[in-house]
Amino acid sequence: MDENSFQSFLNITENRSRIFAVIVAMVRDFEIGEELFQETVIEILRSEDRFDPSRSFMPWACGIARNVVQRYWRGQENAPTSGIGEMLSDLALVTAEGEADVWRRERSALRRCFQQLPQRMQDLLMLRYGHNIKGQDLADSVAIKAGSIRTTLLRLRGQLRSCIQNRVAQIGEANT
Amino acid sequence: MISEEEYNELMAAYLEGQLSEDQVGGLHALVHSSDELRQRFQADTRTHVLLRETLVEQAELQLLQDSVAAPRPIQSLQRSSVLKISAAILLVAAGIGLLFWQSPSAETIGVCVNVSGSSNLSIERETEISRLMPETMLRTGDTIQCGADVRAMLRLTDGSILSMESDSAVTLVSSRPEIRLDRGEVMFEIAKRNEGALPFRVQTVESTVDVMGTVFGLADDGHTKLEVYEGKVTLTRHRDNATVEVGSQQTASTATEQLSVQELSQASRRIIQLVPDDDATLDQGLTEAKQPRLKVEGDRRIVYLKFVIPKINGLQSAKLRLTQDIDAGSGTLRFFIGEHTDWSEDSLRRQNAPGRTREVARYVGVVGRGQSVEVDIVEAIKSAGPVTLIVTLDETDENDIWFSSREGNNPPLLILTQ
Repeated sequence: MDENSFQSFLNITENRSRIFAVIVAMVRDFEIGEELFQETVIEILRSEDRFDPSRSFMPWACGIARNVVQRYWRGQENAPTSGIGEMLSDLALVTAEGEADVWRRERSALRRCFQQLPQRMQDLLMLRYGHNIKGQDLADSVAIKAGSIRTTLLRLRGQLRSCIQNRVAQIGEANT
Repeated sequence: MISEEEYNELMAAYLEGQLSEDQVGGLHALVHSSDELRQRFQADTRTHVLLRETLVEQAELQLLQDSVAAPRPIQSLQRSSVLKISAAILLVAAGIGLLFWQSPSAETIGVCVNVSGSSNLSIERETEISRLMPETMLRTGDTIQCGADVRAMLRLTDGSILSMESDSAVTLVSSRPEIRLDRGEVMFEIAKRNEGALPFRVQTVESTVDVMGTVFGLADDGHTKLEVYEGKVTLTRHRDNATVEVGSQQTASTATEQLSVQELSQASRRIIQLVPDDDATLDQGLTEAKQPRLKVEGDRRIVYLKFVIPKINGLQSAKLRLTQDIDAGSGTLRFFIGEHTDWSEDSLRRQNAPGRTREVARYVGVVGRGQSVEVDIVEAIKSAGPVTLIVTLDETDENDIWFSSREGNNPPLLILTQ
């Protein structure tokens, strides 16, 4: 492994979640996002010679991720129109702004916050996020009306978000 | 001024992939309208992605723990992003010559769902050979070998089924999926590949078979013999790079000088797969129809299936395959012929439900996650026309089992072999 390859590998590992977030924000499906993430990793490693190490890694990697998604869209009948695709792509880049440290701290807090939810709600989130079950299937699995699933998930994410912010703030205060 | 409710509604739809094009424009404008909303959008999407990363990891860990405590199959079509991401990084790293980087643990690619016969069925994993049991999870790199009197059915995580005949061996090369037929005969039922996905690939010594979703038999006795029962398969012979497309009810062999396609002879095996025309659960007398799952549980939940059998001469077997979904369980599954076929998903009620006549098959044991139960119900098929099958589970007390329905991902299948 030469030094460039090793650095690319470390950069990908460090920023894995943010690159994945860019792709998911564009395609809005986890399993497709994971497939395209694999392609993105390959593209990044193939293109490492073109990366200027004096510049920031993330914008360059996000550009590659965007290209991978756009290439995927070109093969899809129901791909977003070009204007909508641009807006989704722009929203995706907003998602990835910020520091990798924020993601790391929040990931750690999320584990704790998740455990504080009632078991039934944990089960619901596990089906939605662990197993990528959506819509009517998800509603059937947890005996919640299909129309209420989106609202229930929204509420749960909101609860988790508050809990995460509180925990991150507490840890920050403890460290100062 | 946007209300809290409007923002929440847009975000909920966005994160579930249900945003209309107009709404995308609305959300885009909102996110760029203030720093506060921009930060809130970032926080919401971050939680969404972190939930996926965290919970898919937990689901995978749970699966591994289950496999250690009591081997259970992997849930179909579920893949760990963690493993996939690691595999992606490390495979590529290997590809660019990172020789000192040790291979990661292999990726789970499927499960052994059924074994029949008495002789040895083995799995070779990293030079260790052990006995392969039903519900053993399979990983890339594993070689499965069927002895003289044993057959095995493997289900891959993409939903494809491999039915291995006696004296056959396959190696699970990669999660693409790519399979190497080392020897013998294997029937492949390849799940339909998504648009843009790479074809399912089967390698033999002499040839490569690429397929996007079909049913075919492949045998290797030094040469490759391919029989396609449904769909279309591309066969490439390595030595001269000759390629042919083999369609439904056609065959090709690499033994011939000119690689060409021929019609399957009348004497050849013909396989017909039927999905039920109607299926439903009667739950305490109330119908659950057009749902993605069928549920069995004691006297409370009973499953009704109606197949329309075509005219067939010389039926050899009729296998009913049900695939577990969401809720696993155990007990005795019984399969009965229904006394009439005068019902539909819309009309089935306790009052008009067909009674049970003769029991034609039985399955006893655990039905784990993603497992397929397959029973031969050839006794139930006497002539062409509709037939009702009724499925019950002896157990109760929440020990119910759910199977995918015809509206689900792995619908019930009646596999008729002529």
